[in-house]
Amino acid sequence: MPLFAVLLLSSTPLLAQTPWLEENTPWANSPWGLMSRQMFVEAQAEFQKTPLTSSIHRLGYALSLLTGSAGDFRSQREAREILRSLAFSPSGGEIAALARFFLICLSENENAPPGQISNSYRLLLEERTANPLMEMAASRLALLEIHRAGTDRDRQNEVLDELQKLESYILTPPARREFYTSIAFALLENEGEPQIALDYLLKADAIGHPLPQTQADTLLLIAGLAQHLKKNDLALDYYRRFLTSIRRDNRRYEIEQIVHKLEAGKNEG
Amino acid sequence: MRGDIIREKNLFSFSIILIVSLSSALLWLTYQALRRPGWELLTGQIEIRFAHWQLERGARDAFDLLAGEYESINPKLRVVQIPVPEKIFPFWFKARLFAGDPPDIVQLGLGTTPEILARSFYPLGGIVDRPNRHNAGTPLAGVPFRETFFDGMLGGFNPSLIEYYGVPLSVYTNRIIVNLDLLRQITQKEEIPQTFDQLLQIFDSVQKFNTHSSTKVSPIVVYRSHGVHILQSLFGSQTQRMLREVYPPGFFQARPWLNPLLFARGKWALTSEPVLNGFELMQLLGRNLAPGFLQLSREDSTFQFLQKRALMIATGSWDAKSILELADFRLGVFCLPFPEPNESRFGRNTLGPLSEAGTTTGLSLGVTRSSLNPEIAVDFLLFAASQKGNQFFVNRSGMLPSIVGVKPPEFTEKFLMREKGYTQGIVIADRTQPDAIRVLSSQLHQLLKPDSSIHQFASSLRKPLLTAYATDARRSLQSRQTPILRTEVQIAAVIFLGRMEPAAEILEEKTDLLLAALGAQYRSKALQESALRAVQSLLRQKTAEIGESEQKFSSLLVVPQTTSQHPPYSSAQQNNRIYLSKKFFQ
Repeated sequence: MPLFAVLLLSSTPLLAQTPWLEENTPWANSPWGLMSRQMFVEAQAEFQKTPLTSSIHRLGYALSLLTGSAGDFRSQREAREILRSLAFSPSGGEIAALARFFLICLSENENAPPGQISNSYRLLLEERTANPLMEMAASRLALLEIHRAGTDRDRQNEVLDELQKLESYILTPPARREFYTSIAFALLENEGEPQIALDYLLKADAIGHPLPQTQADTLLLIAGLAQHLKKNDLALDYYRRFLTSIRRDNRRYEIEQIVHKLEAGKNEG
Repeated sequence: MRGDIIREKNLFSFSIILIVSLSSALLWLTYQALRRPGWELLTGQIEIRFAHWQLERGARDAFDLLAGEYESINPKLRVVQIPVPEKIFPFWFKARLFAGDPPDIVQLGLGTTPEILARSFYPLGGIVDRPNRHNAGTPLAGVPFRETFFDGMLGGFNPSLIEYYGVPLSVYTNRIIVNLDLLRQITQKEEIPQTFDQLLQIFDSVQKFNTHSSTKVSPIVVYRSHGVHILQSLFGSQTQRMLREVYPPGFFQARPWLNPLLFARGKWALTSEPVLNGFELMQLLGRNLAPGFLQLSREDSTFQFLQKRALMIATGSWDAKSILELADFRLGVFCLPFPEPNESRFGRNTLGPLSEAGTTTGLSLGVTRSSLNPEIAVDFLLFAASQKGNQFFVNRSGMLPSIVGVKPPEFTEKFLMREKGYTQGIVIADRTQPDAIRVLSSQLHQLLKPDSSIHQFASSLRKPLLTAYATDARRSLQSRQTPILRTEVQIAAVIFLGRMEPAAEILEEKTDLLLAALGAQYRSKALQESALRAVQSLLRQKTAEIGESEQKFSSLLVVPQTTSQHPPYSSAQQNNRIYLSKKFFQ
């Protein structure tokens, strides 16, 4: 066989299609598609191929710079400059709000005064963007403020009053679920009121947790708190739900023992 | 004449262009061909290479067997394993990756950070819900691939990328392997210890044996990191009840960074009774571990056991086959017995043995994006994780299976997960606190030396432990920022795509999963920050109390500004609508 033919045969892709790959979807190799798969360096190169005219394109490029060039000071500065220009552009809208969201997050990472950070998150939420990512600002804010309040119950109550006012600004269920879960966890980690934590966890559970680990933790927290508050029927219900829905977990055996005890107590009662 | 010259010039130019084009094409084809292994060029066979660090004897043989079986059903393929020592694996892999020539398949876990996974490995989400074609004719025919793993394929799932990247082939558990011949020689019987007291009796027998024997025997040999791990497991048995008392209701297991927070808030102390009991247990076991175990490598510890210089070896299921094949004595296997609640000395604070029901699959293999034949590489992994393939693998490797319905060999059965049991209590340091583990390891000699006092050990541990918690928290918080930002940007991208593309339903589901993962990341970061502030505050108090120079801890006492006492929503800030101010962002 001539050399050329051998080379041609050997260089032909053996399998042109890999149908199981996400890459085969039409959008996968677009810059946003690449970013949706955390391929930020590749996304950055794609964004650079076309002029950065539209605001969405500029936002994408700035975000790819932020994430794809973590150690490159010049890129970080360029990204922040683009975000700043977008955040205060007269046209505003969702792109400007997203740029502000990322700028506030970056400021929080850099230890900006927490009061300013909280205020910024709150004002962003008041815009009712209905964008679940921006609505995650509520979780950030809740965690920041409850942990700052520490174990002081009065301060916790003040913070909770303020957080309650934010609920109406969170329009998407996943962001609401994370907001409620974050409040409950932060309260419990700071010796907060068990009844309040339980109420928030029940609200989060009503929306539903998609990740098995968070689901398992939430079911057991609800059950454990209910048992602590002598609401044994509720506790039993959630312990049983844990045993039905979580197949493998180091806590299963202990929960089975608790269920037997609660059932025995119920029968005796 | 002039026309001829022009024609000749055109012809010459055309020839040059043709030659350059053909040469370029030839060069490109040559490059493409050279990317393929020489084997393919010579034989026309396709070669799939896979790299791993399971250098145990059984594992390498098992991979060869799997490769042979796969080749027998696909004669045009050749599967080659590349065993690489664990110590150099991450460097070796990165070097191959940067050179653009990683193998088709790579074992995940060492050096495969989320960033590398996302950029250099194929996501396998597209195959997990489809049946594995290699399971045809078995009870798993038609069952979604993910469901054929006993844990739902969790060992192949990356929680920060919310994607499957690996196909797990086994599961790891820890046990103690005992030399039965030596046990009989020392104790005149072959009774495997069922309780902690029985284990202590064996330790006593070994000490007596050593007094009149010319060859000295260690009761248990273990290698460095595993030694600290089993000592902490035993310690954790004494704090099981304490965890349920000091943790908020509903937490039935330790939450990373809640232990240091509660420690700094004085909810538990190194002088608490369960903690002191835990140290006592560590002392009892630690004094019976082979001398210098903190310096022993895995190979050293196995060698000591095979040379009969130790009665028992504490190791994992990965070593089972190697030891079984190399030992010229009979072997027994058992779980490290924990004190039971009814035991008088150490029973009061314990709940019972540790549960292994939540153990997830391991030995996960992923397909690199540089693979010229990803479809074949994935098919080989499907074969390896089929009921038949996994049975081949465990029969030869002596490892535990990852697939439902696959039976482990008789000897390995004793390594199967223990379903009945409880979670570990509070431990001094978990895997998210490497500096605290280092402090514990470096201070262990204070506990294990002959005339040591447990109280003295506890008090000597306090200050370095607090300092280590602070260092670990700061380091970990810094390393968390980029992954959180990446998840946020990923979510922004998925949301935009969801609006632009018809596949909105899939993307909506992905957004939900990513938001849940982001929420969990926020919560652990906030808890860690809180723990850091509490530890720093305690360190500052302690430094002031003992009158030491603040300078000594100055680097650890930089309290993030989040601790400053700003009211949550000051009216002045609200009026200024500060987030709209350009100055704030500059």
